[in-house]
Amino acid sequence: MSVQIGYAIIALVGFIALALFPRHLWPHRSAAILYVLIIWLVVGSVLLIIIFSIEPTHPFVLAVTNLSIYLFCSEVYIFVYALLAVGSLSIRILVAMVRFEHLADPFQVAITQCSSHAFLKERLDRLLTYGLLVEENRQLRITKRGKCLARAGQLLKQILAVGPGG
Amino acid sequence: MSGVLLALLVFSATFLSHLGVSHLLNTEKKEWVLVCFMVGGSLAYLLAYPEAIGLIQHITGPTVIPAILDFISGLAAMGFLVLGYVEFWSIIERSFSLRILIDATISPCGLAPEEIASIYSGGQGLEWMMNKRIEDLVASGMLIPDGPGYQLSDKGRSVGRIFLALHRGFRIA
Repeated sequence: MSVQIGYAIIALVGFIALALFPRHLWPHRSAAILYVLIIWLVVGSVLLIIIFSIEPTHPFVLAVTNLSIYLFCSEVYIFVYALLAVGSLSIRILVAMVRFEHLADPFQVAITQCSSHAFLKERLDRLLTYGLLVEENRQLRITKRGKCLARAGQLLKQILAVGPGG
Repeated sequence: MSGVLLALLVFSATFLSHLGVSHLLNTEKKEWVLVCFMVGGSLAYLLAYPEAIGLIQHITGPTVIPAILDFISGLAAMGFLVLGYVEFWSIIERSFSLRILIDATISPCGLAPEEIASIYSGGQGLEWMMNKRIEDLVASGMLIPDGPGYQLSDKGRSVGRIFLALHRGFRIA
């Protein structure tokens, strides 16, 4: 059994090593996320190529088995990493409260540190960096690319029947 | 292989049921509905496997890998689809950046950052967003109201410590 899922285990170790290795090269968090996603797909593709190249019998069955195990385990890694790196506000508040638990009012400190306006500024900067918004005369205007993404998001909100959200 | 096929079938049924119920049921607790469906789907895979696998193998032929490995790979496929859907759903439902973009389409000539803050999420504003997050933390038992503020519950402290350790592990500032 260990031999039959050995490809998935090696791919997973390789993915984590590659994902952890160059983090300091990308101080911008979203660039690091993009890098992790690219590595995820590249390692998955290499896994398939290797299995189809060297397995003489039942390569398709082995590929599906190993790929499903690799995809699930690496997705758990990406899920946790994205939650931390992209910066869920709820997680930030909890972490800040634990960090400043020795102070008199850790909640106030956490709210000051994770203020909604600082959070907004961070996200606006990211949207500007990605070219989804442009700044003209201190006004932020949505670009064509941004409009496409907003329309797609609005459509998906309707399909999934979720609220206005945010 | 048969396990992965079964996982695909069970997930498709779970996804379509969730979508149908989401359109029919107008509830504030959309996250809980999603979690219930996904946990239910995963349990359905576990329960259906012993019975359904014979039927699937009748169509696809006998599996060439050990039965336990077939079961595990199916479970992994189910986990991958469930986690992927939960992640995707959360991005569409809660994404802050997506909401800003949707709000920004209202004014093609542009908005000042302060205006974006005040019209956020259909005019509910940033304070609403912050209060919503805090209410969610209270509802999930992470925070306990304490006078005008809040304090961490034991659960909140444990979760916070785990994420703080992960922050340090990933070296995220």
